[in-house]
Amino acid sequence: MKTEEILKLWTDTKLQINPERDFSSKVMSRIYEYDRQRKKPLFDISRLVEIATSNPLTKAAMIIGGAAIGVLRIVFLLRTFLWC
Amino acid sequence: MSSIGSGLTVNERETISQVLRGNVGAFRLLVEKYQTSIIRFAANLLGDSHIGEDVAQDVFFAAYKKLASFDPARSNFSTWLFSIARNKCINEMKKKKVVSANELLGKITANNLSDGIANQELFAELDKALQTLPGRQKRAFIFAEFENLPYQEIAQIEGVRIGTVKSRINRAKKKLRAALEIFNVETI
Repeated sequence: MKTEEILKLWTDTKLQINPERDFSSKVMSRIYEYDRQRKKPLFDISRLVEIATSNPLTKAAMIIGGAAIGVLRIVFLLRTFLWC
Repeated sequence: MSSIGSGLTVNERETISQVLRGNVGAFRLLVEKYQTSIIRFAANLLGDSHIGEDVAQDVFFAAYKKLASFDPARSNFSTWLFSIARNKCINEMKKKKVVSANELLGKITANNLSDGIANQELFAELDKALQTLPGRQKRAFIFAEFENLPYQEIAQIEGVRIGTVKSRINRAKKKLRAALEIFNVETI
């Protein structure tokens, strides 16, 4: 038998891989579970922490926000002392 | 089924829109349409049908999560899906124990073969030879020969020129033919 014939027969055998019957159901279950987790209430403390720590931009925004509030508090305090 | 733009079918576009609008169940249509190709690709690339199925699950899950980023103007849905599969398989191969090419080739040459060697044995040796190919050549060969993807689509998935794809496929075929020469298979 020639090389090309063997390669052709071999290629045909490689095409015979078929998925398990419930493959799509397994994928969809995973997706539904992911969506269920994603749709948890927003004001869940653990979820807020998770969001803040997973996204660098959110993390940076929270740090900057915290620093800004701190500066405003100092300014407000100084202003109160100076007025007295 | 009619076709639009870059080869995305109208039904596919509608299904993707439905999923993005919140009809999660519609994603099953996409899974069912592409599951065989993705599983076959992963199984052949990784040389293991069970790992192939696990990776294929990860591919569809990642595709669902990233579906909003799919741009039909840039590629077919199948090209996009195969790109995800390619990356997942590369990651999986990094995790897998690497079997050296020499080790496998050693097994091939050590076989004491009779003239009437069964096709199954030849196929097993071709499987081994396929797994010893460099990843790029193996992927290009599998995309072209098993998945029948056009060179242009393979080039897009791999992020290389069409000429490079052709060259990789030719080199892969040459090595597979060479693996058969050991068995005194008649070459043409």
